[in-house]
Amino acid sequence: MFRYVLKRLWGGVITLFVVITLSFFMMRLAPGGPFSKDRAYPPEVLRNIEAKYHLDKPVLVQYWIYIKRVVVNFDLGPSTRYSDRSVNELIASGLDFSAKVGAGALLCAVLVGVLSGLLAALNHNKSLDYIPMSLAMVGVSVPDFVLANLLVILFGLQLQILPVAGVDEWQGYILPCVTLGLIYASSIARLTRGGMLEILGQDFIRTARAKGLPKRTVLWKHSLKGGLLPVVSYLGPATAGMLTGSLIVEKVFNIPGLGRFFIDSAINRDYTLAMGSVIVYAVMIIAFNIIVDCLYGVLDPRVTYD
Amino acid sequence: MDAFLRLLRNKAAVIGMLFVFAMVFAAFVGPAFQQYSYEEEDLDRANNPPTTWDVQKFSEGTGIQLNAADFKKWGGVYWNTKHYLGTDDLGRDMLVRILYGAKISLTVGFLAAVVSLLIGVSVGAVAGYLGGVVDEQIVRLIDTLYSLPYMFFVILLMAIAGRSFYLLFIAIGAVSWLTTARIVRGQVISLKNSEFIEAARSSGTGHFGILAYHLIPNTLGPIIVFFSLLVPRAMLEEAFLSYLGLGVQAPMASWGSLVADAQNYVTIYPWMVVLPGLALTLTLFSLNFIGDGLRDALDPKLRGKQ
Repeated sequence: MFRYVLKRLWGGVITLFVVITLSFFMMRLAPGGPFSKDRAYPPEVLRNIEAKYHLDKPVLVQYWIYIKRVVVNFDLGPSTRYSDRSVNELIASGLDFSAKVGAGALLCAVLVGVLSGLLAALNHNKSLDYIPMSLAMVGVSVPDFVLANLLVILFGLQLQILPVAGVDEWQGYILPCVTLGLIYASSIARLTRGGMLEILGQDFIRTARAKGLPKRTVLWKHSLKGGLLPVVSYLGPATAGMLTGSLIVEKVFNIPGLGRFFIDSAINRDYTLAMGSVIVYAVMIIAFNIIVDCLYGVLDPRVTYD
Repeated sequence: MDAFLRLLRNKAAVIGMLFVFAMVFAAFVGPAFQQYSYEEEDLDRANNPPTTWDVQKFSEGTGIQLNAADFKKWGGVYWNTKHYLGTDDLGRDMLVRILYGAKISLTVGFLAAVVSLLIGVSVGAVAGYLGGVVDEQIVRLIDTLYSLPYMFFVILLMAIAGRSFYLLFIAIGAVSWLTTARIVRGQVISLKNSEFIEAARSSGTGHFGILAYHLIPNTLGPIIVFFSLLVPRAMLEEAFLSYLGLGVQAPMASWGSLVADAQNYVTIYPWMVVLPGLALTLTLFSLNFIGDGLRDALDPKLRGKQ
């Protein structure tokens, strides 16, 4: 198992490298640089600024400087747009908000999804099965910005009980987390139902019931672990999605999270900030995928790693 | 084929198909019947709602001057007879805008899915057929690409390379071919050693002939199913990009960009956001039902069970 983790970590590092390199050169390929858009600087000032950010050196040298700085110092560099703050600072502040929204969404998604999936599985082919599953079908199809706006209109405009912009108060987190969470809850509900139904139909469950074990024990102790396996493996990409899907949620609810930095920096050609955002996202996605894969092995004793 | 008949028995899929046909028809033929073009502005009638409880109160409450002659009362509510779905902030008719958006969204979604399909089928079939080292390397490539956070590259690509219409669906298609390739490769591998392939080979058919005329046509089942799920996914990604401002450019409008344009006014003029969002959701919904229905109809395990 340990060797497996090492192998995955190594794969993750390589992927990260590919991501950094691709993004780096893609950004450089674009016409225009970080300082070409706004106020025309006198040429001497421009030269000084470019020297400060190493933009006057050949691309490969810039690449090497960047890699060295990131790997050795964990310093993502100064931002070209927000000239008084470093990328590390900006990302830390954005990550603070994005992580909170993401965590809340994850909680909502898992709670709502697993519970409704269980409900559906235990009442197979009865109305308590169809209703949650139909809602789940809607949740899977509806785009996040549509759901976000619907909730805003419903709770913010008509009923006027929840704030719809900004997160100055803790209530401001409710709508964003619920929006993001519900969409993933739909997939989780479907997966839970499918997984539980499959496990509950197996012989060993029938044996347990025949032995006279109380339903509760049969459910919690024996079937839950197996039934939740597909959910666990889905949680990897799902968490990644919640972290990146927050792009939309942050825009709708005006949350100063990472997503805003990412998009704006790509448009403004703020090389360092864009690279920094990409790296942070990529690291989180890779890390979650690895964690989930290891968790999979813990939950299912049949899984072996070679 | 009996699979088609099975599909027709799935009520949800049939309703889905009818809806999609209706939407496609309306999108491409509809504007010919409309009195307004999608860019015709009528500033006197800007921000008109499709319905309202009371014309007077609406004018007083929001400050928008409504022309009382436009509205007819029916069933206790006033309906806008001049612009059935209301107007946007420049007085453009929402119904026409939504139909126009339908044309763009559907076209981009479809074309992106086609691009994705072409790349995926080619790579998957070649990998599966050739086997050996080539196959191994391609699989490794696919796995690496799989773990890349591709959304970033699409966003980066669109932010950087400008927003040409062609680039949009090529970009979306180019990052979503991975699963198609995997599916096709699996199919090809399982069919590679069947007898009819052996017969074709011994009758002198070259490699390309076997691939094109025998293998790929026999993998068509899962490919069609996957295609019908690729289209809604591509549409969703296009809507996502347009919402972020990186998709289609004005004056073109897709459903995503329509929602984005009106996002800031959602609490004041909710219809501008809800109506395109609803159109998008219903279309995605229908497409997903069609996909599910196709999958059930073509599933060999269910054959003969009806």
